Amino acid sequence: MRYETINVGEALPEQVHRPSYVQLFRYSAATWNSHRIHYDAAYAQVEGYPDVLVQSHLHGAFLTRLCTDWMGSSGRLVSLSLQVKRFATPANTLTCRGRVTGKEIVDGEGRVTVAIEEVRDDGEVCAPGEAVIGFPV
Amino acid sequence: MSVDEKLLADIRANIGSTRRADLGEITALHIRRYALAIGEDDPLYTDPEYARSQGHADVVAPPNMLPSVIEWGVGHPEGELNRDGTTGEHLQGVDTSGVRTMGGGETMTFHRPVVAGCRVTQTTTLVDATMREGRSGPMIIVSYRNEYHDEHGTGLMTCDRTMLLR
Repeated sequence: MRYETINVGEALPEQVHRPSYVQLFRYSAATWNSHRIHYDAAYAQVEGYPDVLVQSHLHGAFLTRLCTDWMGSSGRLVSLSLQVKRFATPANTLTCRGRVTGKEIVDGEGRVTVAIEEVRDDGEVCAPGEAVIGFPV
Repeated sequence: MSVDEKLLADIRANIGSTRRADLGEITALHIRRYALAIGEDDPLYTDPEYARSQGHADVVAPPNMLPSVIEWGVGHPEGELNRDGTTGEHLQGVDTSGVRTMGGGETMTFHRPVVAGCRVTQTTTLVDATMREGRSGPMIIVSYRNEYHDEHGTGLMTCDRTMLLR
């Protein structure tokens, strides 16, 4: 990936995730997250959810990967922001999308701004966000 | 129990307060487990030889790993956890028992790669807390900043995070 060949409006290749119970458990384990809402379905229902929830940081990890896979080893992730707007459970398929919204040279680095979103299979946006990726120029 | 003005006042009393925590050494095993859990197959996170070919001393942590780890130490005995299984520690000592907490989002700014073997300190500052009426009743929105440095004082990343309390 080279800064010169990136165009505003360009779409990043979509990525699809199907978070499983095993993935949610191992994510909680690797981050030592004891929040019951991620592994105790009966408790999640007490809070009004249909099942255990995908961790907010796992939504973030999916959106991060959308960007790092696209930029390759020549790119540098400068920043990434996301807001978790809707919950997701292992029943959901999550699609991550991105589109280049801007390009500018900052301190000798080519900075590309990408609007990103993670969309649930019913069309609701779980997590919108924005990333800035730097490339050599 | 739901959130109320008293809890908001308790949290707001800590605005501007800062806590520093030694997270210890970031190990290659922890990085590999995190990469596996998120479904990553980038060898930068798992293969030290590949990481060295990219100019790093060892495997590199996926970008959002540091802010994702909830507990870097042993943690608390089960009897000391809130009903929802959390400790509420990120609220700087304010009692949040009985309140439902959820991550609301974050902005991560990456300064340097986090390489296995480095020792990391985390500095947390409570930035703001406000209350508003949510769809299911009152909600407190707490924002705080986590800054991560290595053992040489080099900034690794900054994470501005929001927590929702209901």
